[in-house]
Amino acid sequence: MKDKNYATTSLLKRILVNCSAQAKRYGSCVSSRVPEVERDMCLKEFLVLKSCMQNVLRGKI
Amino acid sequence: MRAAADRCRRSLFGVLWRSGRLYCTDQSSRVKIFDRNLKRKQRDRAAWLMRPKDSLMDEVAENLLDRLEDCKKTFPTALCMGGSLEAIRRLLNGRGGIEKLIMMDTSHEMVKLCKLAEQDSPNKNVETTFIVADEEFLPVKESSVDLVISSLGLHWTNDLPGAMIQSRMALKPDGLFLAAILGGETLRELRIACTVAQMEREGGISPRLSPLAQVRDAGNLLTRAGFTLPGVDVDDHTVRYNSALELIEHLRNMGETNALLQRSNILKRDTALATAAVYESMFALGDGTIPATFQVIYMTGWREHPSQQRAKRRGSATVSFKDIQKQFGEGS
Repeated sequence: MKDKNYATTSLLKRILVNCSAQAKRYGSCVSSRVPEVERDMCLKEFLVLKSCMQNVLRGKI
Repeated sequence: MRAAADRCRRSLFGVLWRSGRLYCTDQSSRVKIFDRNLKRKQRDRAAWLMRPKDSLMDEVAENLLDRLEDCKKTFPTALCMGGSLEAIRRLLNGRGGIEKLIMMDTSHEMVKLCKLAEQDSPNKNVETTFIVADEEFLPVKESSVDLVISSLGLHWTNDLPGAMIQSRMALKPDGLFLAAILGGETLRELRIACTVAQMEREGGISPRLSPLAQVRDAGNLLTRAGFTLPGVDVDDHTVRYNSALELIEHLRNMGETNALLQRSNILKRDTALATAAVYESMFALGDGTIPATFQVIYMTGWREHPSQQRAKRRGSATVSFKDIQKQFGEGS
């Protein structure tokens, strides 16, 4: 169980490190619209971030 | 067909079990906010994961134990309850004249950890005993301990006033109660980031941070529990992390992860990713690290004793303010 924990956290870490530009764009999109937050208001930026994450998971990066 | 019926029955059972607290008779009608069973399991895990010297817990424990040096009184018997047990034991250094120390925690692993630490580096002149017990059901005889210390443990009790009342009953007259709990400002950045990200991704929010006492409530808590000479002060610690994940890891290692009964067991990967991204963009400092606030409220209270000062009765003043003014000169 300890190994599983480490694997998940380092995976997310790798995602955040490799996709930091997309994450920053998504983050600034959301933070600029706080406090009026609605569902899927930054969907485009999030999909870009998500595709980057899937690339990392598939081992392309 | 049979499989479908089984699934249906299981899901119905699940619903009834989850709302089972409405149907089963409870010993009391107290409000249950935290899942104490889960908290115990989390603390078991934290006992394995905890770093030997955690700077935050050490600082809080040190601050708490420092207050013992402010009292002329010695405390031969002391009870130490949950939270950062190990830090208190390690940093004691003979303060307060403690001769008998009782270490108590709900989690068996934590107590085992303390026992091992005691064997490795025993406290001189201190006889230490270990119990596994719940803070809300103290197994201590009334008026039997001189000092009760709780460092960062009481904010997980369902009935904080009740736990404090039991601590007061366990104290001898003129006994001291020292507690450090996390206050309302703790992890406000995480709270905001979680709410915003979950709102954006899922359209709704589930509670991710436990309700924490406000500073103004701490004084009321002490007087409600019946302590005399109450004292409250606050310390704001800001800890910096490289990323939101390290913050969560740290919380997990301290055993401070979510144990609310109302929590959602599901954390979607998308939401976790979104939270990390939002936290970074909203709160990142100049050097790329993120801050997290920990507001620690220190509470001090004494069990009543005739030797303690008490507020004088109204109308019993022997000197008037005019006389005092004349004494110190006009216009000052």
